Amino acid sequence: MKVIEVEGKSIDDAKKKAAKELGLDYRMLSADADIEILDEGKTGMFGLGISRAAKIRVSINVNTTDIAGEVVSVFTELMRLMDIKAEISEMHEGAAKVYLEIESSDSGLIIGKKGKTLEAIQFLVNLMVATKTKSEKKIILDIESYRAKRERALKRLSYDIAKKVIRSGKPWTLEPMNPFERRLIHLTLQNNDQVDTKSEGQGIYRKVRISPKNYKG
Amino acid sequence: MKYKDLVEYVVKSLVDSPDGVEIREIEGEKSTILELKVYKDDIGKVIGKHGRIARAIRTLLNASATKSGKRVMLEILD
Repeated sequence: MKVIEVEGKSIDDAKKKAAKELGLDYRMLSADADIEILDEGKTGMFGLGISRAAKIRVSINVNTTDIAGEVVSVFTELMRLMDIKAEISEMHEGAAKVYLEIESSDSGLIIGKKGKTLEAIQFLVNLMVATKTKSEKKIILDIESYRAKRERALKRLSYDIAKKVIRSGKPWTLEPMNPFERRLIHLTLQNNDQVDTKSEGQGIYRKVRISPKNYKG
Repeated sequence: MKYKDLVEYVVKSLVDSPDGVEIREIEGEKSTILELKVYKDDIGKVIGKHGRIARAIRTLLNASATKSGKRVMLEILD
C-alpha cells in the first residue's frame, strides 16, 4: 500500500498531479486507486479574496496479495502431484525475492541430474505464481544447500580449468550451463589477468570457453 | 492418472483460458502418452520461448515417473 497526499488548484488538478507522481494514467486513477477528498479547496471570487488549495489523499495497492502463501500452496501441490515427499523447512520473503529451503527424503529426485529438475520446478513455480498474482518477485528454491554447494564446486572448477589453460596455452570449453552458472564462472575469473572467458552457443547449449588472455585462433 | 493431474494443474495455472485445457492419457505397458490441447491463443503459454515451459513440464513428469520406471511423454497438439 502506498499513500500520497497532493494539493492542487482544484480536485481535478490534484488528481492529475497524483497520477503523474504515481506513474498512472489520469483517466484510470479512480479505477486503480482509492481517492479521498481532504479539502475541496476554494477559489477567490474573480481571483480575489482568500483561496485555498484542494487536497486529496490517494492510496494504491502496491501488492496486497499474499505471495509467500501462494508460493507455498503451488509448491506443496506440485510435490503432492509428483508423488514426492517434501517439506518447506525455511522461508524468507524480501522486497524482490522469496527464498524457500526444502527438506526431503527424496532430495535426489527433486534435484535431478545436474540440478535439472530443481531448475524446472523453480522455473514453473515462478511462472505459475507470477501468472496468478502478477508479482514480479523472484522465487528461489534450494534443497540441502544444493545451490551453495554447486556454487563452491563451480568456483573450484573454474580455478582448476584456468590453471590448466594457462599451463597448456590452449582454450578449454566447459559443459553447457544455465545463465546463473555461466555468470558465476565469468565473475570468478574476471580478475584473473591471464585468462579470458566467453559464452558461446545458443540456448540450452550455451557454454563458457576459457582461453589464455588475448588468445587468437 | 496422477501424471494427467500434474500436467492439468500446471497448465491451468499458466493459460488465460483454463476451460480450454484438455488432456488425454493413453496408457501403454511401458509408457504413458499425454496429449495436451489448449486454446490457440494459449499455446505459447505452454510451450514458452525455445520450448522452455514444455521442457520444464516434461522434466517434472520424468521426475515423478522415476519411481515407477515408466516413460511418460507429453505431446502438445495444435
